[in-house]
This record gives sequence, structure tokens and C-alpha cells, in this order.
Amino acid sequence: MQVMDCRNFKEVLDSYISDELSVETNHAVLRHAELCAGCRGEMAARRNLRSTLRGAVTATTAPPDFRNRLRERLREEATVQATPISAKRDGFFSNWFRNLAVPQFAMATALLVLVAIGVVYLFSNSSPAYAAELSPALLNQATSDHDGCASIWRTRLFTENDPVHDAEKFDPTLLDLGKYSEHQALGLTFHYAHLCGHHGRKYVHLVYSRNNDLVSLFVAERDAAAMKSGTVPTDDGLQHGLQQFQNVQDKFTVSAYQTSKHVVLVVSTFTAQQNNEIAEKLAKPISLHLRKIESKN
Amino acid sequence: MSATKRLSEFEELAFKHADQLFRVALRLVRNRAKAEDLVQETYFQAWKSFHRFESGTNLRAWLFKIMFNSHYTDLRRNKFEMVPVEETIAETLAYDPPTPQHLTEEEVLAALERLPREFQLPVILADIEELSYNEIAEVMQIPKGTVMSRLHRGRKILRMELVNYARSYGLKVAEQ
Ligand SMILES: [Zn+2]
Ligand SMILES: [Zn+2]
Repeated sequence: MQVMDCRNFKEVLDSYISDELSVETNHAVLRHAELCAGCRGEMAARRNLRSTLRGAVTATTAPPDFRNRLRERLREEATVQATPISAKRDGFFSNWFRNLAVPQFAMATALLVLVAIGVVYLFSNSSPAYAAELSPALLNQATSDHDGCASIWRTRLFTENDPVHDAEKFDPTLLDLGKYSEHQALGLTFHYAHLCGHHGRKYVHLVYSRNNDLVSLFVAERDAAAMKSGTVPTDDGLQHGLQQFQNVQDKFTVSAYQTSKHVVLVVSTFTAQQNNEIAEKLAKPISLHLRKIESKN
Repeated sequence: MSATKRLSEFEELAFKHADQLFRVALRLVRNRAKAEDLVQETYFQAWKSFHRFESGTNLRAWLFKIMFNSHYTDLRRNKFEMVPVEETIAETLAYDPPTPQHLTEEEVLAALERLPREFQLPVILADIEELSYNEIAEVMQIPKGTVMSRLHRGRKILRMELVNYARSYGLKVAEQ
């Protein structure tokens, strides 16, 4: 027989509501709820929260004509699938004639599809690789350092009331960079700056937080390895404005500004939109400051 | 069965999940037009492999899986590849105050929006779209243990946000 206290109860309560507990744990939850009014109240409150949440989110539905558009597309595809390969490869005119036999709406869809294919084709052939795109190596390094380096400090950041002052142990000019970011505007706290160095690259790492979430700002050199193309563009970088990258597992968002000599990256687990807002207040002023320094040299 | 008849059957079974897919797609791509594209693509892919779908299994989870897969493929193609980082065990936040009562939809929605994306998606899939933990692991292509720790932490952060909100507006929060 499993005995459950209030703490255990709260720990498993959400999984109980989701019907994800074993039979025994389920029983233990019910037995505890029978005896404990406080936990019965918490159970009601969490069920309430969940249904309010569901009500709020499920108010969003697909656009009204969405299903019709989808139905048309699928019916069109079904027609194409039923056509022998040779006919499909005959090109525009045979498709055109074949489609004369099908209802008007399908024909219109077919034309739209053809136009769309044309547009995609045009773009994929004529647009050169985006010259200022950052390299996967740099982005991976920034996210793994955010995850590794910054997270080590997590426990300290959130358990001690005192901000961490380790920044003072490092080069004072690095501390200086933190002065230019407008972190207060977004309710962010600036914790420390240091020189981070892994995989042969050295960069400045500034760590901020808001509630339970960490934000890293990296200032890296804009060298060949930082660029996807492998060559450093000759521009001053700022013309590219804010760039945004999302990683595959959807875990991190990276927003970046470039100057002629540096890349300023902001990494967090916030949404892309939130991360971009943060980058505007942290990375943009720092990149403007860097530009001033670079133009003097 | 004729292709048209099969298509009607597919539409009948699959289209009722369109709203759910669209809502989650909006979280993935954050733009209505792109979300519609993603869901259209999902249905298109699903239709193409519908003959492989075993009736009796969960069609909804299968559609979600196709959608996430298609989204991940897009990200891989367009953005950067991530070296998988070992999941750090979510720390237990010791303080767990009672959940506030009488919350409005606006309040909970605001708290949900502030939740880091990493936690937001599992919470949406579990608590709103009602997928099982196993289904979420399959859909998001992460281990079940990771789903559980993200859910645990995400739900807790969400509650903390609401507690702080309730406090700041002087709403009643029962103290233990
Ligand atoms: Zn109790
Ligand atoms: Zn560091």
C-alpha cells in the first residue's frame, strides 16, 4: 500500500488529471483526496485551470474556408495520382487539356498550383545563398554554450538573492558591454560577463535572466567560420538588421545582429518573437556601440 | 474502393481534427498563413500515406506526428541543424503554492504565452489537445522522460506565473 503525503499528491496531481498514473498511484491519490480537504481544493483548482486554458486556446479555429481549400487541393491531387506518369510528364498543355475535363474549380486550382510551382522554381534557381547567413557551426556553438555554460549558473541565480558578481574577475572592458544593453526595459537582470572559449573560438558571454529563464548574449568575431558561405561579407552588417534562427528541436531561438567585425547573438528558450524583442534591447545597442569602436580603428 | 470514395472517407475521418492541428501549427510557425500551409501539407502527406494507416489506431496522433515531422524537415532545410544536447534534469522548484481560483481566460492565456516554447508545446499537447504522454513523445520526437520533465516544469512555471499575477492584483490565494 502506497502512502501519499500532500507533497507527493501535488507532484503527481497533473498526471492524475491526465490519466497517466498507474492503478496503484491512482488509488493513493484518491485515498489522499478523501482525507485531505486542502488537496481536494487543489485538485479542483487545477482542473479549473486546465478547463480555462482549454477554453481560451480552443477559441482559435482554422479559417472558415480552410476545409474547402483543402478539399479542392486533395481532389486535384487525387486526379493527378490517377493519371499515368507519361501524361504527367507531357508538360503544361497536356495537363491543360486533361483538366478541361474536370470541373471548373479543379481547373482553377490546377492553374494556381502551376503558378505556384513556377514561382518556387524561379526562386530556388535564381536566388544566391544569402550572403550574410550565419554558419550552423556558430549557431550550434552559441546554443550549446547557452545550454551548458549559462545553465551551470542557473541554480545559483535562482537560489541566491545576491546577483553573481563574478564579472568583476574578468576584463573590465567586457563588463563595459553590459552597460550598453537596455535590459531593464524588459525586466531582465544582468548577471555576469565573461570570456567564453570553446572549440577554438573565443567570445564574450553576457548572461541575463527573467523569472526562471536565462538569456545569453554572445559577441563573436565575424570571421569566415561564422558565415555559412565561408566568406566574410564586405558590408557593415547592420544593413541586414535582425536575423532570426530556430533550431530543429525547437528548443532555442537565436536572434543576431552583425557589424563589420562582430556578430552579436541572443540565445534563449523564449518564443522567436520574444527573443527578437529581447535582441532589440540587448544586442542592437551593443552592436551600435561596436560599430562606433570599429569605425575608429 | 474508388479513389474518390477513399478520399471522402479520409476527409470524413481526418478533417474533424483541422482546428486542433491549426492551433498547434500556429504555435509552431506563429503566422496564420504559414500555419495554414503547414496543415495543408500535413493533410496532403497524410492522404498520400493513408493506405498505410491502420484503422483503429489514433488518427489524431498520427496527423500530429506528420505535422511535426514536416515542420522539423522545414527547419532542417531552412535553418540550422542542432547537435543534440543531453537533456538536463529539470530541477524541482521547491516552492509550490496553491493554484489560484477564478482565473480568467485572458490571464491564463497571457501566462501560457510567457511560457518558454520548450515547455509551451508539451503543455498545449497534453493539457489542451489531450494527447497522452506517449503520443507527445512520438509526435515531438523526444523521449517520454523528457516530455514528463518538461510538462512538470512547464505546468509549474505556468502556475507560478498565475500565483504572482493573483498576488499582484490582490486576489485571494489560500495560504497553507
Ligand atoms: Zn493533502
Ligand atoms: Zn560562458
